[in-house]
Amino acid sequence: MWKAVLLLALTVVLVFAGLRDRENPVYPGVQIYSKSTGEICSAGIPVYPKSGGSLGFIIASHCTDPSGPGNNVYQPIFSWGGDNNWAGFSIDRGTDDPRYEPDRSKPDAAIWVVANRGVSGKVPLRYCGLIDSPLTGVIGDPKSKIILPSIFKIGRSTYCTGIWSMVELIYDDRYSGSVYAVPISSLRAEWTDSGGIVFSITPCGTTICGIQAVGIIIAGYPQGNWLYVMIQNARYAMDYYGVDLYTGP
Amino acid sequence: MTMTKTTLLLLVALSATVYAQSIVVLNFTALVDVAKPDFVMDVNGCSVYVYVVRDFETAKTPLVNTRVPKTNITASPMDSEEMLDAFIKALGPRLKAYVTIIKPEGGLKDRAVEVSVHSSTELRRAIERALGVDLARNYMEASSAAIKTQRPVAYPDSLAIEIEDAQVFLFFLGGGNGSKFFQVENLVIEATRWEKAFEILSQIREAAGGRTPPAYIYIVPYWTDDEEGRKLVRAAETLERELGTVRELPNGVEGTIHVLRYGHVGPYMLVFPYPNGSAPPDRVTAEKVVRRFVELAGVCRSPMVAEFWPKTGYERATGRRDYTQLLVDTPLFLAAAASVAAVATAAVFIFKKRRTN
Repeated sequence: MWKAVLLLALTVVLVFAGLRDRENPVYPGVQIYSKSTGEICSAGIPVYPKSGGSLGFIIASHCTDPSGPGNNVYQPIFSWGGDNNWAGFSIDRGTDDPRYEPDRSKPDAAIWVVANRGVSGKVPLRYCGLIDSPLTGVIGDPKSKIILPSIFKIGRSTYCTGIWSMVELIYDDRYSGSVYAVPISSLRAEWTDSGGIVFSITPCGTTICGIQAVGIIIAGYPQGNWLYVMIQNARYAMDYYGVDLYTGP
Repeated sequence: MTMTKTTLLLLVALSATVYAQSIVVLNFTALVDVAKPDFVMDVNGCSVYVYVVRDFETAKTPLVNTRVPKTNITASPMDSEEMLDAFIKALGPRLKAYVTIIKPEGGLKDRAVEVSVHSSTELRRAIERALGVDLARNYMEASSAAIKTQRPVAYPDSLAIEIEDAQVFLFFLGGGNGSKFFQVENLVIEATRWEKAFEILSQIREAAGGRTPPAYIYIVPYWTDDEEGRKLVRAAETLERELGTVRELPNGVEGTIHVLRYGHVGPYMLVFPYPNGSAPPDRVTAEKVVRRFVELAGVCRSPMVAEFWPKTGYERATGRRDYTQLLVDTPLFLAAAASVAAVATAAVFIFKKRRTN
């Protein structure tokens, strides 16, 4: 009897371990904490600057501040003592409010430059019942590429969600940067999934042909009763910050 | 565990393969008929389908609780090279190639070039000549080559042709593992008429020796463009101010007008907040709002969708630090809770056993 209960305890720990823990190396989907108001979000697409510099992740701009103490990034959360869980800082030239933003080129995206930890470029597909793998590319222009063969996201709140069937991306002109919407019935997300990585897996034959970055979760609408999840396009954010995919171990 | 994952992957991949071998027709023109509109209004000869959502649970509109109408037709499996050759033979030689250029300093850039080719073997060189940039197979190879050479390197996105009432795309897999240089992801035929779409499909089938290629066929009412999109957004901004429905919230905004579309494919879909607070608009009010919007935008394409939702606006997917919730969320807490339960159960078990002895 007690063995069964201990097994249950162990299972609980294993299932929930990872995304909300202090991790080294850090990887897509892990919990982060930043901004002067103290926001809890998720890490997105692993990237590196071609011009040189540290590895990092595309995260949501509204999860961090462009300057001041609020641009420090803690993982999983700020804690008193030790190194405070400090895990780097952000470069944020994006916007917190893509609806109101007068500069339509600004995406709700920033770069978390990782310090004090290692970085893994592998998407933790174990949360989706698969084996962890790096991204192999980025989804093309959202205005001509309307259909994806599948869609998934990994974030600290709802872990891996998505579907293995065709999904249509709805382009949303209203927001700055490049934003699309996907029905929540295809891609469930909740509070604190902001910044979480969104990707598409292309199966071919009996294997996987590619795992392509789609974007990061930024919001849901309408207010209070999400029918759609809003995604900031990966390709746009990568070009905006001049970064490329990091696909290392 | 690995066995289970492999089996799951195989099953999923097999089902996706079957799917990839069919013709999927998505009828965007019929989107306005997936649910009965409350009314259809004529704005200077342009039809606007108006839907008033009273509650999100039971409503059916183009954007709520429905999908784009879809039909599946069986096709023959084809490999990338066969598909590419059939495409070029049927619709070439003059085609447009869309590529992504990876810049050595970082970042990606889209570009389109005109090429004239007669077979897949000529395609790579033709794109490179037109671009003046080396072409790699996919993102990964282009990225490595850009670092190595410190020069921009491209990889193919799609091959396309625009003909009367139709646009045809052959999309390549931007991040693939296959051995072929051009790894075809899918064929997309967009047309305003069914006959036109199937005429193009027949041409490709003939070029493929009578085998029907897997494809996506989009029946579209019209194609959208970015300038029209911008005009609709500006109209939305102005009308929101006039209606006074917008309210900034700590985690987002409510009462905004949404401007949506399926990429470059129509119809435009607009979502309005209720103009008078919590009561759904009557026909007169709804018509007034839509007419004012079209007047401000100077754009109306037939058909256009206008939905009135009880709530609009967005909510950021973030959360503030909540110690109680975070504590409950932590594995340590869960482990501690489970351990306490385990110890308590074990104690009861041992205690009972002793009493029995």
